Amino acid sequence: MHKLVAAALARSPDRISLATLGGRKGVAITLGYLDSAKWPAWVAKVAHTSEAVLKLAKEHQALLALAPWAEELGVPRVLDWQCDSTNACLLTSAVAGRLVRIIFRLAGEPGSGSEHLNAALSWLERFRRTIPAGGGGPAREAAIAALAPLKEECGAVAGLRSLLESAAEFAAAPSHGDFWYGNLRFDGKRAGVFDWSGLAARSPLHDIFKLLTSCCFEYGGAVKTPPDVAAFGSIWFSATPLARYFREKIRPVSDDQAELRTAFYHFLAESILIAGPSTRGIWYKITSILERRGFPAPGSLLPAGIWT
Amino acid sequence: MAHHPRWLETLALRCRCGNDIQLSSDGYICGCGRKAGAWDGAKAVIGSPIPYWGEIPQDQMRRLLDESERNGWRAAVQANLEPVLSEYVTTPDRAAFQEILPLSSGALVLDVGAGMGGIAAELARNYRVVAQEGVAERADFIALRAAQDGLSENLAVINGDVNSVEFAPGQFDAAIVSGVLEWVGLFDTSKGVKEVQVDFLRRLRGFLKPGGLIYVGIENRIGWAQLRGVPDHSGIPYTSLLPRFLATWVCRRNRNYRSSQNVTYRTYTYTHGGFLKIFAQAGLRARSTHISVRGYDYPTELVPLVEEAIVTYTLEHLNRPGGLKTRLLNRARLAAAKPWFWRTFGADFVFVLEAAGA
Repeated sequence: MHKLVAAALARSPDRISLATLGGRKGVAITLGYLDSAKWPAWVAKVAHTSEAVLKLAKEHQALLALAPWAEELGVPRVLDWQCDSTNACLLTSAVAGRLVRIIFRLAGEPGSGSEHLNAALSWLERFRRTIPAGGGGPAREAAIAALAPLKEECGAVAGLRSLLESAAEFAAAPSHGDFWYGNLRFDGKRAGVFDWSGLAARSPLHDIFKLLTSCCFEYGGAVKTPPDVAAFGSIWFSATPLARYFREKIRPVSDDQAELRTAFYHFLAESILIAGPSTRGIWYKITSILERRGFPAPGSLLPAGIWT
Repeated sequence: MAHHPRWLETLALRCRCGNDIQLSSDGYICGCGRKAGAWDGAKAVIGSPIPYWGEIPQDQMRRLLDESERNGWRAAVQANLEPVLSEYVTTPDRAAFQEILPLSSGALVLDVGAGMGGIAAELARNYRVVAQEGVAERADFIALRAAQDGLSENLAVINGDVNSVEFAPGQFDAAIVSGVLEWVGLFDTSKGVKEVQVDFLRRLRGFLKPGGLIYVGIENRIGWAQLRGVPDHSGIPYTSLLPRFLATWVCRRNRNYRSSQNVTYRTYTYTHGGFLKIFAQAGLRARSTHISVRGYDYPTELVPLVEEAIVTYTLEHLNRPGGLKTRLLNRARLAAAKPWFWRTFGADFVFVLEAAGA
């Protein structure tokens, strides 16, 4: 047991039961449960390899950066931290709430958890409104460049391209990096998010794609096909905060950040409906297609604002 | 004088006469004249080694040792053992339980029945470990892997029968008993199985410093795996579920018994309540109880018998939704996410024990 975990146990006036959740990629996760509490009291991540130590250090940095908004966004607070080259321990508060398996059925009736999907999308909106976005010239250039090969297959691209070119600024958005339902917890409809080691500036598409596609699953042995993807849009987008944008065409927007974000959501919807993934594939195919097309790479530097 | 960890100087055996015998000397001779054992190359030999038994036949084990010396133990294991066994011997996961043991760095830990050293070697990265193993070949293997992995300063190997190595009292911070308690009945047939097990635990309790802990990993007598017909320690399915006399009767008439020391049914496991009873008889109490979801051999996922922890774990490990069967199975798993259900039918238990008066 790491000494920070031992210290947390010793500090607690109440009895704490420990659960371990395995050593994923060199990180052992231990949860501390108070017998009477609904959620874990704290979470300890212990890294045993230099690679895992680096990842944990990133998460520690991200949580410190997000600390001013921790309450509002449901982000864990750092309780303790210790690090050397081959060992690190990050002790944080736990995110209140339970895992909800948001399910999107590719065929047939809608799945479950639409209210939670909406809550997660709302959370993303709030996250981007809350966290200050810094500069972003390179992201704009990258986004424009990435659109070029899409011209033939997606009618929305031309509009988006002119939009990007005419905008005074196009900032990459702060992005969680691994925003899938497994990293979310819901207390009622209030979402909290953990596992922040991937916090960086990226395409605003990154998180939303990851979330939406993590909710899909293979149905009856069949995988996503274009009609399925169309069903994805019609069933889910109509029930989300993005609904009002969904069926509209891309229209010229000002250089206002919110408008640009809206335009990107349009682009997301259009991409799913028109370009879509290939006839076979699962969620990562979509994101890998985007990455191949040159959207800002995961792990690019955060806008300066977030660290200050 | 042979090389052994310097901290071994602080460790002593207890002679039958009541005197202590320091483990740092080459020959362990008590003031009363009794010779308890001797340091032999890379290990201490205490009493008589038990007859060979293990996961592989003795000649294969000897070949493995030879090859380990020549090519390194990891390469030898991968070349000579089945993949499942190779993983079992090499994986650090077997010591993953250390995340729930409140031990300070450098604590002195006794690994009882250390086998091929998978747990002891991993613990030796953080603690000072005494690996006690009754089979000479396996003790040699532990010493070899410790030397080749640069862990010899933290890992001392004692080759001696679990029931005969007698340490002076109050020396260890923790004792690890992973997959051992159920077997100890085989090594002392002079008493009833439960009595042997209680005596064994009582002796271990005596080896501990005040506040010391015993970690026990063991199957549930009526666990899910047993109900599904996984072979019991007897080598025969369902024997743990039978009344003891009936299990003894079955084992007497069956040749599939796993140990060469075929002495009827002496590998008792218990229900949760049964374990707590024998712990209490040994002057111990459970500080925490967990279900080791991957089995006590791979204690990477330890879930305490606390409702929220069980529900959280279950939610995170439901099958991806699919057909009716999967949906029904998921619903059943959620309905079963209750402490009483896990306590009753959980496959393997992990107990962290402390002295009852602590």
